[in-house]
Formats: sequence, C-alpha cells, structure tokens
Amino acid sequence: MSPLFALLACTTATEAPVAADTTSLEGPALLRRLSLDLRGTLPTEAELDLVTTTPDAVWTVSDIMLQSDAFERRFADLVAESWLTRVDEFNVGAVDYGMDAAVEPLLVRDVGDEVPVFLAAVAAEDLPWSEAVEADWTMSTELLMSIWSVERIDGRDSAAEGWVRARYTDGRPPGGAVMTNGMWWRYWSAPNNYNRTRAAAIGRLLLCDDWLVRPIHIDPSEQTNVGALEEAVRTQPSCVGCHDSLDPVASALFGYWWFDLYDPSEMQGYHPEREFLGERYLGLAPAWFGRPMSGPADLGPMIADDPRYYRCAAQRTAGSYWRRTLGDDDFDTITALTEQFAAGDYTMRSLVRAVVREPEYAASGFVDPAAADEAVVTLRVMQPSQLATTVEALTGYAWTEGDYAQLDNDAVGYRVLAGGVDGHGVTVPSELPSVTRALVEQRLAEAAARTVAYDDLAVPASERRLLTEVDADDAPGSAAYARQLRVLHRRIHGHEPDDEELAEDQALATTLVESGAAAEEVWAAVIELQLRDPAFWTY
Amino acid sequence: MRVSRRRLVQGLGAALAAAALPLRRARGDGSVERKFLFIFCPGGWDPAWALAPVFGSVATMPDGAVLGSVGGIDFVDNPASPAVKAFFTANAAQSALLHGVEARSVAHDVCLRLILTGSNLPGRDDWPLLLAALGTQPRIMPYVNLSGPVYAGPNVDALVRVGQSGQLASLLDGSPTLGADAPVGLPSAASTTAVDAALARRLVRLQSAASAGRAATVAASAALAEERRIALLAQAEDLDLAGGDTLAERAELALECLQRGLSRVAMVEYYGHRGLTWDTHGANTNQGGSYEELFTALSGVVASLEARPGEASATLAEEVCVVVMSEMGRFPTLNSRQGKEHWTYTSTLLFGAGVRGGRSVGGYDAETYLGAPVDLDEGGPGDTPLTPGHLGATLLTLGGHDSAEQLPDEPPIRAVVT
Repeated sequence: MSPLFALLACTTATEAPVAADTTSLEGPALLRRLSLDLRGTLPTEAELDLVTTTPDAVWTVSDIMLQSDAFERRFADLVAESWLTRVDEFNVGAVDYGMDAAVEPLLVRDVGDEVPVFLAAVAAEDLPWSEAVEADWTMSTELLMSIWSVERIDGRDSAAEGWVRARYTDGRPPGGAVMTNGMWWRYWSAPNNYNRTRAAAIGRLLLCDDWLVRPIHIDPSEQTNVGALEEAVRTQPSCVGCHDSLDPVASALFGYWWFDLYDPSEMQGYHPEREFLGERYLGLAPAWFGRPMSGPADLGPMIADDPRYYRCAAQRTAGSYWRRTLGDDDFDTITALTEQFAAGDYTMRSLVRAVVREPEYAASGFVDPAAADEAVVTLRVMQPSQLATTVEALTGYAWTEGDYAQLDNDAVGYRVLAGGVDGHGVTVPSELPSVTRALVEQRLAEAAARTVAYDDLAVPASERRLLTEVDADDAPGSAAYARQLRVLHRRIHGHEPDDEELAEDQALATTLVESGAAAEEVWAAVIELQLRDPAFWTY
Repeated sequence: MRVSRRRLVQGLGAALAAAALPLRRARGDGSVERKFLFIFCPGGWDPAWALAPVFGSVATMPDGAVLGSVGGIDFVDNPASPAVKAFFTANAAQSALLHGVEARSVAHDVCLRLILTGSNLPGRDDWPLLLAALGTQPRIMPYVNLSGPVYAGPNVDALVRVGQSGQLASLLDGSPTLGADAPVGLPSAASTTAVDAALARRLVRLQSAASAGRAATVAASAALAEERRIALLAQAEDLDLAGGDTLAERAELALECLQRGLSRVAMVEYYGHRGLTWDTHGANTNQGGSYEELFTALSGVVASLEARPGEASATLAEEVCVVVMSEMGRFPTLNSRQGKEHWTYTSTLLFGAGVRGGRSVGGYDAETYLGAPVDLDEGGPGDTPLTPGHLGATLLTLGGHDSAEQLPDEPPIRAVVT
C-alpha cells in the first residue's frame, strides 16, 4: 500500500471552512491548487483518482504533500520570491575568487539560495520558527564551502540537491538567517549608510515593519551639512522617531562591515573584531527596540522573543499562498493565523496548513460577482518557478543554458519576462498573462512537447511519460487516439476534456497528419497546445 | 484603476490590420495621441550640477560653474558638462524644469516607487504604465521598457519588458531553446500555425465562458497577450529589439517603437557615464561625465524626433513628450569623500510635445535646500510644495487625460502644459 493510501486508512478527512461570500474550489481543482502551491508540480494520477472519488480526501492528501521533499523545495522558492534573495549579480563574482567565469551562474544561484534553502530546512524539520533566527547552523554547497569559512556538520541535509547542513567557522554568533552571508551579500550597506539598510531589511522581512516606507520630512530648521544631519537623527523629533529604533539594530551588524564593498576577502567572512564599530559610528550600542543587547549574539534571540516576528511570519506566509499582500485590513485574519501558528508550536508546516485551510485559499469566485473583492486572487497564474518544475515533471524537459536555469534568472534567462521577480527592479510577481509571458510559454511548450513526444515514442509504452496509450502508427479518430487525448488532458489540465476540446485536438492532429508530419511532430503539437492552454498555467 | 481589457482586445484586431498599412493614424477626433519617452537616471542625480542654479545657497556648486540662462530656462553652465548648455540653447523653448519635487524618502527603492507612482504602497501602476494603459490606440507593446524600473499594478499586461540582455529578441526569433543545454529545434511553420489557430479558438471560448471576476480578467488578458504575441512576431522581422548598448542607441530603439505605433510609452535607463552610477556618495564630480553623456544623447533624441515621421503628424516631435528624471536628488554639501549623500528633493526635465517650454518651476530654498512651494497654474512662487503626485498628474494631463480621476488630491502643474 502506498504511503498515501496507508495514511488515508487511518485519518479522518477534515474540511476547510467556506466563507459565506466566496465560492470555493473542490475536489480535483482544489487538489491541483494545493499541489502546485505545496509541491510545485501537478497532482499524480493516483491522487486525482482518489480525490475524484472521495473529494473530502483532499485535505489528507494535502497533509501528505506537506510532508514531502517537494514541499521543502517549493517553500524555498516562495521564500526567495518574498525575501528577494535570488538576484542576478552580487558585488563580487566567480572571477574575483579566481574561479572560471563559467562558475558564475552556480555561484550566484548558491548565494541567492542560502537563506531560502536554510529557511525551508527549518520548515521541513518542524523546528520552531525561532530557529530561523537563532540557529547555529546554515545550509551550504560544495561551492560555497570552498570559498567561505563554512564546514559541513552532521545533521539532516536539504531536499534541495547539493545542499548540506553546515556551520560558519569565522566566529560569527548564532543567528540563523540573519547571520548568513547570503543575507548580507544581498542586503549590503554603503559606507555612510552604516548598516541601516540591513537593519531596515530585518524590520521589513522579519517584523513586516518597514522603516523605509515611512514618509520623511526634512525640518527646515535642520542645518544642511553632513555633520549636522548626523546630529539631527539624534535630536530632531522627525528623525528620532525612526532612527532611535533603527540605528541600534544597525549597530548590531558591524561584524558584517566591509571596508571595501567589492573585495571578496572582506565579504566572505564575519569580522568579530569590528563589532564595536557600530557604537563608534552610530553612537548607539546594539539594542532591540529599547532592550539593550550584550552583543550581536543577542540579536537572534531578541527577534525570536518579539511577538511581531511570529505575526509577520503568518502575514508573509499567507501572502505567499494567497498571492496578495496582506495589510492592515487583514489584522484579525493575521491574528487568527498567528494563534494557529502558536498552537502548532510555531512550526512552519502548522502555519502553512492553517493558511491553506482558510477560506480565502480555496476561493474560486464570489457568490455575488457584483460584490467581488478584487484583492482576493480567485484564479492564480503559475509563476516561472512553477512552470519550470511542472513542465520538467511532466515532460522531462529542463530549460537550462550554461548552468543557468532559464526560468530562474534574468541575466540571460526569462524569469521577469515570464512574470517573476528579479530581486531588485521587479519585486512583485505578476499575476496576469502578458505578451512576453505568452512568448516564454510558447518557447517552453514547443521544446518540452517535442522532447517528450520524441522520447516517448522511442521507448515502450510502459516507460513513457505522457504518450502511454498510443503507438506511432495510430491514426486520429482511433480509440487509442481518443483515449490518449483524454489522458493528456487529465494529466496536464487536471480534468477530463469536453467534446469541443477533444474535437479540436483531433482536428489539429488530422491537419498535421494530412500535411505529412511524422507522429512525433503531431503529438508534439497536441501536447504543445495543452501546455499553452490557460487550463494548464492557471490554477 | 484597471483599464478595460475587453475593449482593447476588440480593438487590437483592427489595429493589427492597420499595422500592415501605412502607419499614420489619428484618433477618431483627428487629434494625435501623445506618446512618452522616459529616460530614467537611477541612483539620484545632483540637480545642482547642471539643472538647478542654486548659486548663493548652502549648496556646494561645481568648480567653474556659472548661472546659465537662455529662453526662460535657468541652468548651471558647467564647463565639465557643456552638452547641457548646448541642449538648452537649442531647445529651451520646448523644455521645462521642475525643481524641488519631494520624494519623501532617502532610500533608493522607496524613492523609486514614490517618484514613479506617487505612493509607497505596492500594487500601483507607475506613470509610464498608467499612460500606456490609458492610451486610446490599441498597441502591441503599449509600454515598452527597454531598461529601467517598473512598478506594475492592475494594468501590468500593458507592459512589455525587453530584458536586460535582449531576451525578448531571442524569444521572437526562437533561438532560446535552440541554444539551450539540451537543444530542441523549432516545430514546423505548419505546426505552429495549426497550434496557434487552435489556441486562439480556446481563448475565445474561455472569454465567452468567463463573464465576470478574475477568471474574466485572466481570460481577457490571455487573449490580448496572444494577439500581441502574434503581432509582435510579425514585426520582429525588421525590428531589432536587442539592438543598442549606449543610451543614444537605446533611445533610438525606443523612438522606433513609438514611430511605428507599437508603443505609446517607452523607457530607457541611463546608469551614468562608464556605468559609474549617479549615486555619487564619493567623487561627486562623476556627475559631470554622466550629465555630459546624458545631454549629448538628449540632443540626439531631439534630432531624431524631428527627423522621424509621426504616426499622425509630420514629425514624431509633434507627438512625443520626453521625461528625464531621477528618483532623488543629492545633499547640498560635500561629504568627506567629496561626494554627496541622498536628498529627498529632486528635479525633473520635460521637453517636447505638449510642454510649455521656457520655464523653470519651483526651486530650492537658499538656506534649507528644501523644495520651494509653487503656484501650479502660473509656475511662480506659491503655496504648493511639489510632490511626485503633481508630477504624475502633469504627465497624465500632457497625455490628454483627466488626472483628477487618478490623483484627485494632486492637481497637475498646468504651468508647464500647453
């Protein structure tokens, strides 16, 4: 018996609450949404069959998805989208380390992934979320361990390929994500900024409180020279309001202070001997919103002791799975989620479970369309990372070029053009189709469809991915053809085709057969059509 | 505000048919739809270097610089950047400067969002995208972003990014999967035609079935994207969207898109001379090379606008308004590294179609270096401190739109609108 059915045998299905004013996805459609969000791939045939016959089983299957390795990988993608760590360039690159330039894509990817993979590991291990800012370990790769002071340690490795549990050996204090190079390579500080940018990142990412979005207003009485301005941030009420809380956090980050912003020897390690510079430069000792720190080692524990940290985790996690930014109007919702987070011992899985069981997650529309709340995303569009993983799982086609994942970079790839974020200029994913996205879908679908069509028809049916029902000499209109088309629709779209779709597929195949196209080309066209159909890339 | 997609879809078919015809088109009322070229200078330029002659103020002015004045435009006649003087000498009559626009932040990311959207909240369309979405002519790439920041909200599907290494051109010629690690050839033309036709039928059915709500929005956007995709593939044969490395070359490509009627709005980013950026925390003199290169390119833009035929006018110059801006300004005095820190007040240059030229509106207080309040209608001193919202309202007005619908509390600076 598969793990899926074994678990079903000993659990009772539960139902998500349904909001009075929204309609909700059910059965296979809800399963599809859950699978794409929790694993980044489509449901399996067995899962679809189960939920088709037993719709209430969807939540049990969802819980199984949460336990999978794919959840860990998908969660890392969502963290990266929200924390904006996957950028295309850092201040130094492979050449600066004396490595071949061809290593650059790997280096950029690994640095950008350190925080997401680490946070996903904390989630996957069911550790309390305090570990995300208190851990004395991180996740690393062979490449990062070869250039940074990081060594492999015992413990569970990541589900992400090539990532192992590791620990910095350069004297930095424990602090989880806030004591990683990946974090501070992405959020670096200019010399006269004195780590304020980094402190602001902590506020934004961990407290959902962004000092930077507060409007500033220069008091006319302030003197316009740099020295006076530094004085003003300590004395002028309009400045003090932010700087008295921001600057002490910045003061705790001077172990990451680089005297040269583009020097790998500066950037690769922590500098314990520079911790004191915070107080010297900023005139304030490290503190967390009025609570003095004895040193940077207190930063993580103080974050973890701040109720806003857990509330923010709930807010960000809900935003990731509901595909919108939660704000003041969601106060009660965030409170309720935070309570469920606490009840689950602050494990991320418990929070994600709560988030996907909220009515908004399953919302498919509104009972009264005239009263629709446009903020509620009732139909999602696959993000580039989901397109990549889903298409690869379906067809075996991975779109890479020179070690660049082409849907996960913008240096030479197509992430932003497909609607994703680049970490700097584009920070909010697009939730609608666009002409560039249509072009990306076309090229991806063409290549993936041709790959699987040629691969499948070259091997026995039992070894195929998609074309399991036909032989190369089967003709449109045959029973095998019709059966195959139904299988394709179900696999790719998650539901049976209607008569019109079947007739359309048959007509497409007939046209190409009559034009003399080989069976592989005919099936490639049919599969390409299903992959470019919104029924595939919406959910 | 989200602009009706259904209307645009219905109009695009006709527009595509028209695209095969001579491109001169006018709106139904015979007027010309104003187009926009944005040239964005990220990092925070120093207005005191070239644009804002704040002599006698607290601001540290460049060595050797003197007050320049021509045709109603006062500027900084700086020997390090002679192209600025050359530009205003030739184009003061069609140029207007806005000084003292307050972004209300000193952080790059926040200032970028504020200056381009008027808000620090996510989910709002920036001025270029809003103008593109409000356009009355159906276009294949309503807003083509060749480079530069973008803030997209409900009208994101009017946006077309070219990609930082010209990826859009690769998508159009089909090369990205041919050159992939696992190369895959393109399907035959017959196959592509047949799949496109089948997909088009599905999209029509999808639109019919989705009558309301988000499903309808996605369906309409998908249909529009598909029509634009096909049209863009047709245009790609003689349009090199990957072309150009320099500001001047990229600006030419932007103007080509505007001239062909492919776009209403285009943006090009200029990162500064030799890529040194405008963010001169050290060596503020680096502003000199950047301003020189920028204004040399701007003079080229003027020449190109005058040489190119417009969509419905004799020249493109009659149709295009050029907006040159940066997200923030720079602190008035030098720091220990001879650089200047961030400053929340900045300046913007407008020139071209629709701009009431020969005007400098606003300024910087001589003692505090705060933005000076202005009279929005007359342009002289007044009661209104300039904000990004005023800038946005002005751009909407230049575009022929009622800015009150989008920005009811921030009227346009009518002093710079013809």
